Amino acid sequence: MRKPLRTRIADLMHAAWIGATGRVSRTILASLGIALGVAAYVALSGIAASNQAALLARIDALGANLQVVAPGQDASRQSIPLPDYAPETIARQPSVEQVGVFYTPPEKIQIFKNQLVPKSNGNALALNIMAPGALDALGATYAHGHGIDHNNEHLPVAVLGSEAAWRLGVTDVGDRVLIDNEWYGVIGILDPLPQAETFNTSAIIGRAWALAHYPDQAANIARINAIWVRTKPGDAETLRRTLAHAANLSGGNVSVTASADLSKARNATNDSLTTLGLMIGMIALAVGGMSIANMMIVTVMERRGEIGLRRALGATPGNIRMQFVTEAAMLSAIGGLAGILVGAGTAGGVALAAGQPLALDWAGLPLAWCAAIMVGVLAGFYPAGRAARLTPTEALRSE
Amino acid sequence: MTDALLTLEQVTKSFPGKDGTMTQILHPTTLTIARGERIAIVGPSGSGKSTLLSLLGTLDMPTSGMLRYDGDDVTAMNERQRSDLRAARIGFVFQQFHLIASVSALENVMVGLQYTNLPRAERHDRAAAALEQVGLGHRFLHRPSQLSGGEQQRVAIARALVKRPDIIFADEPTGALDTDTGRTILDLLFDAADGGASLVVVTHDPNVAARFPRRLHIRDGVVREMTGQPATDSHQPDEAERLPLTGTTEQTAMTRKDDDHA
Repeated sequence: MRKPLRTRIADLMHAAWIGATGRVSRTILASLGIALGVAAYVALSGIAASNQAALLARIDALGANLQVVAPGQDASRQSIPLPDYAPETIARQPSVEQVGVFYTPPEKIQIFKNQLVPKSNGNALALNIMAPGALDALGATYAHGHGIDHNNEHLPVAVLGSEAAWRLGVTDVGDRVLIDNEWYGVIGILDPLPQAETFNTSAIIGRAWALAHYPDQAANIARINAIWVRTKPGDAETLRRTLAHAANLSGGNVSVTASADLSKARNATNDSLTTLGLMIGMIALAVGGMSIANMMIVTVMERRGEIGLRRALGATPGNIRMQFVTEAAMLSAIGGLAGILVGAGTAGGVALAAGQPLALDWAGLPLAWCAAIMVGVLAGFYPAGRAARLTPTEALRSE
Repeated sequence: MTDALLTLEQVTKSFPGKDGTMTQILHPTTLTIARGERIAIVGPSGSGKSTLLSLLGTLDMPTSGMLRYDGDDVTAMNERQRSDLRAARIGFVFQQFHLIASVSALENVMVGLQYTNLPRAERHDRAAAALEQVGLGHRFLHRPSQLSGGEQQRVAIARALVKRPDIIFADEPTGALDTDTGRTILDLLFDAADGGASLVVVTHDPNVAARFPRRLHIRDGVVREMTGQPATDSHQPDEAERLPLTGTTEQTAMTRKDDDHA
């Protein structure tokens, strides 16, 4: 009859624990190398992850997750209007978070501070017509005032881009500007939008007002000029196809462009630092494994008496081998745990000092620990083999 | 011989010497140990006492001959079977105690049952009882370094008897202790064996050997039965007291080949 597996494992762990922690200084010295290895990996990959998180946050602020869906062109270079259902079908895609619709502005619009500015002195400002709330999809924020919503879209009010406001000399809401010989009250001034720079030099008015004010051009204005789509971060090419298909279900050409072509940079930053951490960590783990192997060889020589005793008490060579392999693994498990704590602390400290968000490679932590334990097992094989090969009489004769 | 526990039949042990030739440390020996028997093995150092004890305790295998334990041929067993045999039925006590320094007395005694099939709770209870039995009921949680030499040897005895062995082997159990403590330890060993176990003690101390009803003398690898009262004031028994045996007596036999020296 053999012992039940649970008892066998409990006995093994107990014996290994006694051996591994019998002398604290020895435990610390033996597991130091592993601790440094794991700490190096965890810290470096953590710093890399923090860097990356900070970088990604900046990239996303620049609009890496903004796509612009616009009418495509047919073979004869004629624009193919987007169907009216496009905003709805796009919004229904699971990767889409927010949709902002802009309509086609009337042609030859001039925007001035007042009627005294010579008509030849164009400001190179553009007019945009938005559906209520469309600017929110861009992640636009307001330096002053607010945007156009259902309550004011039928009024002669305008939102100015940051550059447009500067050129028009408008500093606060309540001022007014002259657009196509019609006074508009300024209700909002935008912060600079690096993710959608065209809006910096734009005046934006509501769709309802535009339709009512330009009845002769209403059919044109009602056409969608561009749909700005805020998506979840993801593969740009897949998104492009999804959005194009959703925008025109009949398969007509649709133009889908990233507002800023940063999606490649986003994907490219993923690996390099983590790889470096991994390599340094692996080298340190190998060195740590050797120090455990060394320490275990010394241990086996020092503890010949215990080995002989255990053999006399009925331990098989296999029992002895398992005990010392487990002991080595336990030393490196202890080292690995310490390394994870030290590494995470270092990464956290660096992130804090650099003002970055703390990000750890969470999936990597258990893997690093397992790798450390595996190194311990490997390091334990040779010393454990020596211990197992000792005959009881040899071991007991030690003095 | 229904009460025979251990028998050696023409057992020898040789070790390779420096020049590669085999040196016979134990010459052909035939001997029987009965259940409950108390035996002292005496002899000068280097005489082969420890070798004989290792063979009897199944720690080492004879070069030739046969060792039977309770009728089973130990020499035919594999390593695992011999280990299981030791784990379940044989107790050892050593001169150097061989306690694990970093754990308590109780834990040390529990190690004596680690390689048996007993559940952990049962091992704990038995170890506690064994420590009580050797008079260390108040020292369960002391580490070996916090115990005196005599107390350490008591822990070792508790570790040997906790498995309720068929036989206890003690290699110079009093060698590291002063005379009074040694006497107490020997008393404890006798008490431990009172449960029905055989007791085999290796000693170079005639005073210790004198307390055993049966004594074996070993010198230069030759085992002889000692008869009569031993001299307790000398390490060397009188020549007249030695009874070289070449035949077989009813219970024990030791033989020596006259032509075994190469």
